[in-house]
Amino acid sequence: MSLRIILFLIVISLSSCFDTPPIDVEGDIEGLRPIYYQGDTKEITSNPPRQFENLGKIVVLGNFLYINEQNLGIHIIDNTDPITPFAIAFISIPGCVDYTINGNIIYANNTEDLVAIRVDNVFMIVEVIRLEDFYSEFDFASQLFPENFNGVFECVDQTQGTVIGWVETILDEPKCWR
Amino acid sequence: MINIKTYLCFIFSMIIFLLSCSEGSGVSFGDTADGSSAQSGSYANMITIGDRLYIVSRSSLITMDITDPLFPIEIYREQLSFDLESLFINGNTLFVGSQTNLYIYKINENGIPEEASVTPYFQFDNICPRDPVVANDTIAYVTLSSDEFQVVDNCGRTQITNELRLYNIVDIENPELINIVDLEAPKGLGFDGELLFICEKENGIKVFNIADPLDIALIDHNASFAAQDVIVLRVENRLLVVGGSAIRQYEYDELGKLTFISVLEI
Repeated sequence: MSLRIILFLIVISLSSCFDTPPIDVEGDIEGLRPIYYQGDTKEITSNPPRQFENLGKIVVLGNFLYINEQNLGIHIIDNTDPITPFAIAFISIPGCVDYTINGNIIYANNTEDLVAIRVDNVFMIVEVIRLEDFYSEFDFASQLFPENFNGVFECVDQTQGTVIGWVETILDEPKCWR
Repeated sequence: MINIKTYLCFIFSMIIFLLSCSEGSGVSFGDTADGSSAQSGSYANMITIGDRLYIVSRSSLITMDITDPLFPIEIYREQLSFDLESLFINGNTLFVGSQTNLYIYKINENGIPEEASVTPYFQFDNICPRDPVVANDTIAYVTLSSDEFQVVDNCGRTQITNELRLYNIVDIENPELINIVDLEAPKGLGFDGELLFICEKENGIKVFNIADPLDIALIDHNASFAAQDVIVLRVENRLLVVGGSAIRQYEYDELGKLTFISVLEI
C-alpha cells in the first residue's frame, strides 16, 4: 500500500469522526439555532413587557419574578397575587443567560461582560458598573459554531447580525454539525 | 494601660458592630422568609451570600467581593473544567454541577471556596448536558439527562442517561453514591423537607418522597407541559415552574400533592 493511500485512509477515518453526522439528518431534529442581535450589543435598556419565547433561568425576590429570555434579557413579573401574575417590564441585556439579584441590583452577563444594573425603578434602570471581558473565555462575538457542543445546528449567517448566543430548538434538516 | 484596654474594647465592639451589619455568610441560602434574599432555580450560575457573589462561568468558579454592591471586585478565580453548569450553596458548602463531575467546596472564613472533593459521574468520558445539583446537609441530589442528539460523541457512539443520583455528603470530602432513580429527561430540581420536585423536560413536574433515600417514591405527576426549572417557595408551599414559554405555579400540601394555581404566557 502506498503512503498516499495510507494517508488518504487516515484522513477519511479522521474526518468521519468530526464531520459526518452519525445520525441521518432528514426532517425535523433537535439542535441549536444562533440568536442574532442587530445593534449595540452593550446597550442595556428597560422596555415594555415582551413575548415569552425561550425562557431560561428564574430568580425570585419578594413579590417579583425575574425570568430570563435566553440571550436577550430579563422579564420582570409582579407576582403579588400568584393567581394573576403579570409582566411589568423587560430589561434588554444582549447575550444574557446568567444573572442574580441582590437588593435593587441585578448582576448579569452582557455577552462577555459582567454588568451591575440598578433597578430601583425598573422603568429607569442604570448601568452602574461593567467588567469588560469578564467571561472572555466565551468569545461570543466571533462564534461561528456553538462552543462545547456535539450535535447539529443551524449554520451561522453573519449578514443577520452578531451571534449573541444559541438556543435549543427543532431544526428542519440542518446543514451544520459539530 | 487603661487607655490601651479601653482602646481594644472600642476596637472589639466596633468589629462586633460591623460584623452584625453583614448578613452573615453562615446563613443558609434559599431562606426567603425575610424577603430580602433572592432565591434561584437549580440552574443558577450566580449566587450572592452576604458580601460575596459567587459566579460559575463555563470553566471557572469566581468569587467577587460585593461589600460595596455597586462595585464588585474579583478576589478569587479558579479554573475547574470546560463544562460547568450550575451552582448551589447550602450553609457553607458550595456545589458546582458540571457535565462530568460533582464539585464540592467548603466556603472558608474569608468567603473563598476551598475544594473538598471532585466526584466523576462516569468512569469514562460521557457528556451529559446540563446537570444541576441541589443538596441538604446529608444528601446531594443530581439529575443527569442526555438528549439523544447531544450525547453522540465524536465517533458516533451514543450514550443515553436520564436519572436522579443521590450522594451521601455527610463527609463532603468523600461523597458516596447511594441510589440511582431512572427518569424520563430530568432537568431542574428543588426540595422541601421530605419532598423532591423534578422537572421532566417536556413532561411536566414530578414530586417524590425522599424520606428514605434508598426508597424514593413517586407521589404526584403533573404531566404534559414543558418544565425546565423549578423554584420551591417553602414558606408559601408553592412551586414556580418555568419551561418553554410559560411560567406555572402550584401549591403543594405536606404529602406532596400538587394543586394548579396559574399559568402565565405572553
